[in-house]
Amino acid sequence: MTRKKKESKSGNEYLFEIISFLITSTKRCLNSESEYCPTRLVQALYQLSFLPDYIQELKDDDFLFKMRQQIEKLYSEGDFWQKPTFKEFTNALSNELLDEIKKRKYIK
Amino acid sequence: MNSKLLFQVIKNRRSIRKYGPKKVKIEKIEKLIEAARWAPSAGNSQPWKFAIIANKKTINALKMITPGWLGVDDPPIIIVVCLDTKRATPYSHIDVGAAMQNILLYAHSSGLGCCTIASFEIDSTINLLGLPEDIKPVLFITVGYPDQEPINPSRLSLSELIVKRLE
Repeated sequence: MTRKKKESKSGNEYLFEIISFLITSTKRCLNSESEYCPTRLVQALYQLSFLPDYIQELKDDDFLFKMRQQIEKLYSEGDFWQKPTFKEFTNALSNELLDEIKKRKYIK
Repeated sequence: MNSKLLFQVIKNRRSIRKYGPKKVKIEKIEKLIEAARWAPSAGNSQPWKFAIIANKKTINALKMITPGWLGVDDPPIIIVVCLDTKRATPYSHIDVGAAMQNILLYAHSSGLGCCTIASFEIDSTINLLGLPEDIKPVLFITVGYPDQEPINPSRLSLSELIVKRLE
């Protein structure tokens, strides 16, 4: 499910799409789709993982690329929103985050 | 009546998220609405209305307010299935489902592919499309010529579905 960058789209336009997604998801999750919240957040994270395609400064960001790979692996499984699969995924993601936090020396 | 053929249409229909560049003629879309028109409805209330969106900019704008737009490439057409609140009954959600299924099956039988999207921002959709006050959008159906052949998804078995038989 790797998405190709659309060459005609600017970074600004791409960011606007992510903002739209977050705003509309917030409203939908509040009104009728509260159980979709975790998957929507992951979807937003997936969209953010493509920011290096638009922002030069992020081109070498390994962490974003790792996030993208993790999410694509999740999406490739059928019924990925089912609790056990999704729980395993969030655990894996948390572990990656912790490694990155240590790597970036937030914890001295 | 060829029930075998109809069953093949029912069984082989898939949600299509990738579309080819071939333009869909408006007559084909109108035929889909014609199919929807003959769906059953509580008390023949026919509570449905439809907006046909073929304008690329409007489709892009709708995409921005649709969190449920997952993995769907640029469709040439969106049918916005709406509820006419003046004609609605407590069962209209079932009626709209029946109309939707007529559209999906007739589309598949005529070489088109569709994907249904239910998670979109309703108030923003009404505003963007300039819908009248008593018309409430309930579903998007993306339509185009398929550029993919999705694999068969799993289905529960008959024995899992039939919870009671009384003969």
